[in-house]
Parts: sequence; structure tokens; C-alpha cells
Amino acid sequence: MKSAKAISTALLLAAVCLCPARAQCLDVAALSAAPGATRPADCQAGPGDRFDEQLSGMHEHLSRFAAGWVCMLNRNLLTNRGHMQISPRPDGCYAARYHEIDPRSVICLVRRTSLAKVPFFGVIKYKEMVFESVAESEAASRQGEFQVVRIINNQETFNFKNGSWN
Amino acid sequence: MNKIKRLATAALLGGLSLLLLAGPAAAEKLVPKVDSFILFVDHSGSMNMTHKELGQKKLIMAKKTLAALNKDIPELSYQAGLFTFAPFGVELAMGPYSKPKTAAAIDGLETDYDIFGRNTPMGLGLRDLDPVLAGLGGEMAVIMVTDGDSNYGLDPVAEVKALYAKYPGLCVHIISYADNDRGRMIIDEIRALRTCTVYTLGQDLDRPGNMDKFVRDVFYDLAPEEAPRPAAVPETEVITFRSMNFGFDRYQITEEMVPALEFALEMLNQRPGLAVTIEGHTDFTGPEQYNQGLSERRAASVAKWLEAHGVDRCRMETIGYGELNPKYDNHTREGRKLNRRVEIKTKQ
Repeated sequence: MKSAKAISTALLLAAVCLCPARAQCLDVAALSAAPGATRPADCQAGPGDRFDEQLSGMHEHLSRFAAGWVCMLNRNLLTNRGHMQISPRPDGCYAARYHEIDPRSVICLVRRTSLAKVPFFGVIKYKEMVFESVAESEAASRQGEFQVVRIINNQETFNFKNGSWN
Repeated sequence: MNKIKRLATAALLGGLSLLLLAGPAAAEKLVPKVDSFILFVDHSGSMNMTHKELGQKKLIMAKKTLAALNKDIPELSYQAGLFTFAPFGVELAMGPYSKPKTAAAIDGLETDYDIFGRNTPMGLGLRDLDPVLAGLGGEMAVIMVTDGDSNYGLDPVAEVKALYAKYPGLCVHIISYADNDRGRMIIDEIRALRTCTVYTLGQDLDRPGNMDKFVRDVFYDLAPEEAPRPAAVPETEVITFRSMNFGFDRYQITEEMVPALEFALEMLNQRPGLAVTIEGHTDFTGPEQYNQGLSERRAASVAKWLEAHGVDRCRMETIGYGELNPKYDNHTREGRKLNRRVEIKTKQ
């Protein structure tokens, strides 16, 4: 089964490399079942393809870093869910407030630089939500129904240097 | 007495009738967020392959998701259609939204095609959508269902950017079946273009409540009469320069800081009317007065660099907060590191 798959993949790749026109290119992603299969040069996406394998690999690297980074941010926020800020209001009620970053909002961008020591530059974007609950007592406000009252759209910049993001 | 009794009975019966006619408490009134929406399905060879992690054909999963999505979309006054790309095709032409017609179009999406010759020219597909959008106007949503793996033709990110420039009321949302690095990167690049984008992994829509949330976020809002409608949630933007490692007691700009500054410069150039504050912060180690001065000098260095590269000084206010405005816990090493930062914040 494996050898049949390898042979058919090899035949398809050969067909691609022999065909001159880009329009004949296969969807090589569809061949990705063959380990080590690489895209023939004339099947690269259009001129100036900036989504190459190296860059997309760095994007994946930054995405993994970002997951841990956002956890650390949430852990260390002064007013996170475990350390709500309670404020009295003019109407006698109390407002409980906390900040939390939504991990599903994380977007990563990677760019090449012209610097030898910093070959890549990255941006981690995420939404920091500010939640608030209002009630008649401090305790009730902590337990109440929280609504989003503000969204902070954050972008944090990082350099890739010496094998890590910082 | 009899007259009074009759009047009282009539009043009682009248009141009861009113109560019955009023029925249950007033239902929620849904207000459409968009005037039109397009379901835009990636019909490439890679979508007809098995998802590497989920073990099912991506397009089969996409069809099930779209069918569930269609069931959940409220029947409000939308114009709607279903199109494919790779290749571009019209499965349901734009018209008044009809749940059964959309269901039939989704059901009719072919899944039994040969992957040979099926490239993924996402950029071309987006460009082909332009004439469709031109006929709509108002607020438009394109819900793109894709694995993101564009491997041929025009730059899809540039194409979405061009559509955004042409159609201010447009927002591209993404249901992702990406299963490789390239697909995820392209999707992230598209998501980054506008903050309105609602994004989800396709498989996450199977989880309880997630489909309802997606539909609510994309398609509708609650009407003011139902409950006091909160004002639109205010949003602010912050760029935090984690990559600007000034070094102990340093405030000068170095070569390694330039990529981050160029990123900020690009944002400011794209939005010429935007005013910002540039804030310097430190952790709480060291004398307060020293930290105050250092944070001011660092914020000033950033402003100076931006001004030297064409940003009007009047657009930038610099503030050194020193240790007085921590955002993170100074009692942990992580928190102190996070507090040492320079930020650019947009002014409301």
C-alpha cells in the first residue's frame, strides 16, 4: 500500500515537473500525504510568493510561543479574574471588574527583516476584554453576571534572535 | 348594587382579556448586523483531502457546518448567496435569504471530485467576488470556509486588503479547516486586516453554544426595545514593544528595535488622522524618581525616531509613568519583566 502510494506520488510529481505552464500545476498540498513531498519550483504560488515554507514555519513557531505568552499575561495581570477590582458607585452599588485575554483572539504575524542577528520580526495580536458586574454589595458584584465593557486590541512586537522570540 | 357588581365584573373580565391578549413576555427582537452575506466555500483539491488532525474530509465537515450554520441564521431581511472558489462558481446567486434554498445549495456542493488539477487560487477567487460585492453595498459579510492553503496566483491577503479599501462596509469572517502551517499563516494574515473579523475553527462550531455565538457575532444584534441596549463597547488599541530591550539604564534606539518601530510607523502612516500617546513604564525595582526619568527618556526616544521618519510631532504625546502605572504583578519575576515596556496607545 505504502509503495503504491509512493509510486503514484512520484509519477504525479514527475508530471508536474515536466509540464511548463503554471496553469497545469497540481494542488500539491493535496499530495502532502507523501512524506517529504516538496512543491516543484514552477508550482509556487504567483510572483513574489511571500507565504513560503520557512516563513510559515516561523509563523507556527510564533503561534506556539504566543499560546504560552498569553497564559503568562493572563496569570500576571494585576486585575485578572482571581484579583478583581471592586469599586463603589455613586448610586451605592458596587462594580466588580477584571481583565482577561481571550486566547481564541490570538493572531500571529511574521516578517523577515534585513538584520543578520534578527532574521524575523513577529507580532502577537490579541483582544483583552474588560468585564464588569454591578450589584448591591461587594460580594454580590463578584458573583454577578459579567458583561464586556471595554475591548483593548493589543499588538505585541517580538524579535526572533538566537533561536527564540523576545 | 347590581349595577356596581356588573361594572366590577365587566372591569375584571376586561382586565383578564387584556392579560390574555398580551400573551407571554415580549420576545427578543433581532436586528440584522449586515444587509447581505455571502457563504464563500473553498472548493480546492486540498479541501477534498482528509484533515490531518481531525481525520475527516475537510469539505464534508465544511458542508455539515454550513448546514448547521444555515439552520441557525435568523430569517431577517438579508440578501444572501453561496459561491465557491478554486474554481470560482455560483452555487446560489444573490437574492433574498431563503433558508431552504441555501440548504439546497449547500447540499449540492460537490464533494466527489478529482484533486488532480484543483489548485487553490484563493486570491483569484477573492478578486472574482468583487463584481458580486459591487452589486450589494451597505454592510456585507463574507463567510469564508477554507483551509487557507492558497498556493497559486494572486496574493489572497492583498486581495482582501483591496476589497476592504473598496468596500468599507465589508467584513470577511473565517471558518477554518487549516491543517498546515501555510494555511494557518494565510488565515492569520487575513484576520489581522480588520478587527471586525469573526474567526473560528470549523470543529469548534460543533461545541454547544459556539454556533449560536458565531451567528450572533456575525449576523444580528438585539433590538433596543428588548432591554436597555448598552452603548457599543469602546475599543482602544495598544502596541507594546516587547522587542525593544533597552538594557539597564539605557534609552537609546538600537538597530534591533527598528523593525518594531517600522511596524508602528506603518500603522501611523496608514491612519494619518490618528493621535497617540507613547508611554514608558518600568517595574518597581529602583528609586521611583529614577524610574520616572528613565521611562520618560525611553518614550521620548521612540517619539523622536517616529518624528525623524515623518510622523508629525503634534500627533504624539509622550508620558513617562515610571513604576506608578503597573499593569502586571510586580511581585513576580514575570510580572516585573512585563511591566518594563514602552507602549503606543491610540487616543479615543
